[in-house]
Amino acid sequence: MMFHSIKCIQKLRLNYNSSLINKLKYSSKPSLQLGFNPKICIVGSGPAALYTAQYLLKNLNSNNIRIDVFEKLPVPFGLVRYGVAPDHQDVKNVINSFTETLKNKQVNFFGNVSIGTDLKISELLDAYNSVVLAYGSMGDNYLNIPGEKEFSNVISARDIVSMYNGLPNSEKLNIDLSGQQAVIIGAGNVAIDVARMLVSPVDKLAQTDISEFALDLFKTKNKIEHVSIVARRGVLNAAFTLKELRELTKLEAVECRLNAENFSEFNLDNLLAKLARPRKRITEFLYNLSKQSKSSSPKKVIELKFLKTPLEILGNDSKQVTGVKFKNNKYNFDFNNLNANFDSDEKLNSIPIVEDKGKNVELMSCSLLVKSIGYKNVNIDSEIPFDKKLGVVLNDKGKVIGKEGLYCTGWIKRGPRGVIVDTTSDAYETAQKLYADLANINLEKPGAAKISEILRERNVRFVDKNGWDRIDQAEIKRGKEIGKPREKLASIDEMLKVALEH
Amino acid sequence: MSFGLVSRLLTINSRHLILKPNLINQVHNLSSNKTINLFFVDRNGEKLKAKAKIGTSLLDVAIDNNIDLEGFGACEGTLSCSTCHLILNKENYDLLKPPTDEENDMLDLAYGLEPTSRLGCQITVEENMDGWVFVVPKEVSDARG
Repeated sequence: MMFHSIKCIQKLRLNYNSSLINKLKYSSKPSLQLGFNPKICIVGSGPAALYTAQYLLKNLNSNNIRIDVFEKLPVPFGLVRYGVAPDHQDVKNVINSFTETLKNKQVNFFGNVSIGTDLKISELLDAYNSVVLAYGSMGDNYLNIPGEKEFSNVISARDIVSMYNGLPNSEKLNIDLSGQQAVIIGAGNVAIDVARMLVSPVDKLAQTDISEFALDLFKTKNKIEHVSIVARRGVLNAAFTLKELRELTKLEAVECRLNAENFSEFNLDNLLAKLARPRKRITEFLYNLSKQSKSSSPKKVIELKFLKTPLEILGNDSKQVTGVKFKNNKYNFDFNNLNANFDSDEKLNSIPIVEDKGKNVELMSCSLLVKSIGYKNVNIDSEIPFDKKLGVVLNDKGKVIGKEGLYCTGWIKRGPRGVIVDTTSDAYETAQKLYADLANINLEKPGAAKISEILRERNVRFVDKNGWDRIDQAEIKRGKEIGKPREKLASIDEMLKVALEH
Repeated sequence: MSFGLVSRLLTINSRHLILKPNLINQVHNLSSNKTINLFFVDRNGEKLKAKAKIGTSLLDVAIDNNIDLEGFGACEGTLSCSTCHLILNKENYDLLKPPTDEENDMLDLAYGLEPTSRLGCQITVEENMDGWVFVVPKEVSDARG
């Protein structure tokens, strides 16, 4: 009965959103009229890609537009599928609108196609009027400190997230949760996600789309009791957002701690008065958290720590991580300065932070070390103008500089930070650039006809919409058998088998 | 009862279907077929008229009236995004019940946040809102650039 209800709700939501998308097609403004049938290619199939597709469909639909979406994996949706935590199903509602976009007969899906290897950017630019890069951030940042690559159980947050979200091959992750202490370096929302997943009651997770592998791991092998989330900067620069922090403090059987010393140098009222609203609310929340006394009943603990930079990772003779050495930092600033202006995060982030030589180097013991220090953009084709310093594709509001017909959107355009609302706005901006250029050309391109031919010549087994639909149905069916919204297929081979052999 | 409304009235929590408390009003008002007129001002400054059913949310109103707002309601009214951000005038803003912590947390992430900003999915249409104007903020990119 319970699962039937979940299915009803999911169906209702799908109906709700399909009505939304269908209505969005019939815009009150006349769409841009072109003298030809534009063929657009989008590289990537996550939110950046699909919101861009939605805007293009809405504003160019009278021109018999064709949009081809290319995806490296056999399955679409990017980080909504593999990044958003399993206990955040509401955030995944956006998938409903993406599903409808893929269903549109003017949209094609090419899964299991790797741009840069299976197809070159130059080939895409030949076959399409416009090529939009929306492939997100595939790389990781490194601490570049001794011990980082020497010991086991030193793991990037991305790998843990991929593991609990069932990214193909992620179950091969060599992770050991049998110790009690975990340290997470980095304090953004991903760090909070990982901390929450490590200490959440397992029965809550069992009814989500968490991977079978991770569920089993958390059920049977997770002994973690204490998680430290460690930020380099201070409380005024906390990178996580209040919704996630609030959720952390409401977790069942988990106590969240913050040392009051983090606020000792501020006159709180003076400070709060100068902060912009979002920063003010989270700072006040952190202050109140720091004032709470420790509970006496045994609970799991998540501790937020600020102003510490990792110097060295330590391990034992068996090459397992045992701890991290941190130096302590401090703000190099007079917070009593009445003229100081803190009304933006830029200004707060420019407050100098220096080593606090009055404090000793600190050793934090841990059996698991997670690096949650951000993703990095990577260039997938040498023909793409890439700014290595800024770590983004060279662009002007989404129009790639130095390559006619090429555009970008999402994290590959503005850097690997931001949530859905940033992505929708970003996609809107890039779409404007496409409209402006398309209005000035009149050129029929071959599009999918040409590309499919090339892929077949190269024996690339691509997954189309129907193939994805088969995978989707298989996952939902498997999930139903065990009370989950879906059980994701765990390997590329399995996905291709279901998609292509029928 | 619209599908959208039902899907947002209920949420799964642990083993129970729970009626979301801040939408209980909508249930009481659903039996009435009364509508009032509301206005949305879109990003281009165009004023769009909408027929709003009492008891529905502003997100429902935008959808039911085909109001053309880019990316509106991405999370389907579950307080997981801030794409249904609307700005009211002070007079009307003050007449509404203040936002919950959860709504404020998402408003914190919205572009062009004003003291009279609200999330459309959290505003329930009531009779006294006849003629109210809701402005979609022009800003599409964060001050961070």
